[in-house]
Amino acid sequence: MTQLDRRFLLKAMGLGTASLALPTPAFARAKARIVIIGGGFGGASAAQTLATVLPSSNITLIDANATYTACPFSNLVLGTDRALSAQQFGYDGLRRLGVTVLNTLALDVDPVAQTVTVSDAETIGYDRLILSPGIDMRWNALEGYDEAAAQIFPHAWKAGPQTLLLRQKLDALEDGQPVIMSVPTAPFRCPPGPYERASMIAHYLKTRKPRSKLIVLDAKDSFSKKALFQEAWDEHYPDHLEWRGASDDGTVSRVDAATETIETDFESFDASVINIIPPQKAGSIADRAGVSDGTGWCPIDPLAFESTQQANIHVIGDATIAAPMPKSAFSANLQAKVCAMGVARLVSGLEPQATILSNTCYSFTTPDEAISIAGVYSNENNILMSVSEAGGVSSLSAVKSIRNQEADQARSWFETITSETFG
Amino acid sequence: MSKSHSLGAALLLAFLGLAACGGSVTDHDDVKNTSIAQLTNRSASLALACAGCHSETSTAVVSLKGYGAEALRDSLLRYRAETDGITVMHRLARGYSDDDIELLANYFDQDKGER
Repeated sequence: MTQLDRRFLLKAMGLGTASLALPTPAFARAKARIVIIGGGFGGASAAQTLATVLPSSNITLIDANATYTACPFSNLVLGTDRALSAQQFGYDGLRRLGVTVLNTLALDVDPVAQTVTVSDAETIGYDRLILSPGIDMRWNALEGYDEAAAQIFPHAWKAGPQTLLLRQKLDALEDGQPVIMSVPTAPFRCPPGPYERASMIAHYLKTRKPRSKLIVLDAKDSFSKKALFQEAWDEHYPDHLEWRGASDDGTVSRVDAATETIETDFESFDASVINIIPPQKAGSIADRAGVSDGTGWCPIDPLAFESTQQANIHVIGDATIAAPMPKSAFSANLQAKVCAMGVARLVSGLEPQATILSNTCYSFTTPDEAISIAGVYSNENNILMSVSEAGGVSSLSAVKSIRNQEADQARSWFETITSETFG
Repeated sequence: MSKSHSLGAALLLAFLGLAACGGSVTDHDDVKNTSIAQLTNRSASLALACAGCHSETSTAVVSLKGYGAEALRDSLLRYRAETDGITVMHRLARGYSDDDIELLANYFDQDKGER
């Protein structure tokens, strides 16, 4: 009996969709159709895990790009001689595990018919859909910042061509000219990311354009690992980095690509290199699937990361509302694996189970020194919360060897998580 | 509960009963479901977090390959107990109960572990 037949039978019996959530041994006989949209740290990890724990299922991964360009470590492409190719990963490893990888844009999701539209002529049916769409920019949420403006003021907040564009602008910078960065209010992808980037750009200026300086205009007064970053900046970049918070007129209120100027409440800046990190939202397919809410992000039940708004659709990674877990590659990878195990259980008539999750994020302050933040979380009773005794940031005033060790650990982490995710 | 709902529930139970007794759930399916339950048990799901950093080839982050349950348990308990420890692993270990540390130590055991 196919799942469709079964659903028809249940419908004929007068049962609503809620009944489908009951443990149903017969479900396991059908070859579960699982579709994953988004092939980053979330989606690719979900595919890997499902291929392992549920090899009998039919797994399809949809991503517009044949090559994924990773964001972690992309700030080192901006500030050091790290090549963008070191950030890039393909999907052959997933294909070897039997995952069907479609390099096409997922155009639409019909949560009632349980189909994904990939072209005018083709839809793909699913029993469970896992959305890992990452972020999209909220164009014009910052006045004047639209897709065209992003070619003048690169965001580089999705790694790839935007990363190279920002690097080219830095390379073309005349020594002595300022560089400006604008940082939005939370939530956004990678909470410590702007400050690692500031460190890497300051390093670039210190070593290659020593008369230039980076000015960070921030719409907030506090940020992730602030004391640690400021300690590093005082030590390494006293002449190359200036940070201004919201209460020091740091909030950028308007940008003008035509005149290449940006404005705060009281001041106007023009510079040949302006990096705007804009306000963000869940990747737009989340809106079409009906899983995002008024905040632009996606509420989930953290046990199996199923949407609270649409049955049989799960959402993982940066697109989710999963605080206190941050929007990080580590979180996306782990949420994907927890979600995949939950999905494997659900399609097999088993309930998802609670577990302990964690996160670790390293940030480089110089090319060979890093600081970290870690957290441990429980999803017991379907509530995601921090385990209070655990987690925290690196120590202030640590000796250089501690920072060097964390930089080594960061590089080891990147090797491990990318090989675990992409095979 | 309305009459039609109770009827529906009764029908569903009857259907599931039939499915179970009527041989449409095969031994193979039972094996598969047992295996999925095992592959996704608490030990396996706790271990997912470790695999973000620890692999068989990781270096600056220690590889868990070759460790026995006792060594892993002792190491995790020591990380948790050292209140002045500042490494990432100290900060993470503080979030795990005795029971979960035991599950992880056995899961990663080089000889009898599931990984």
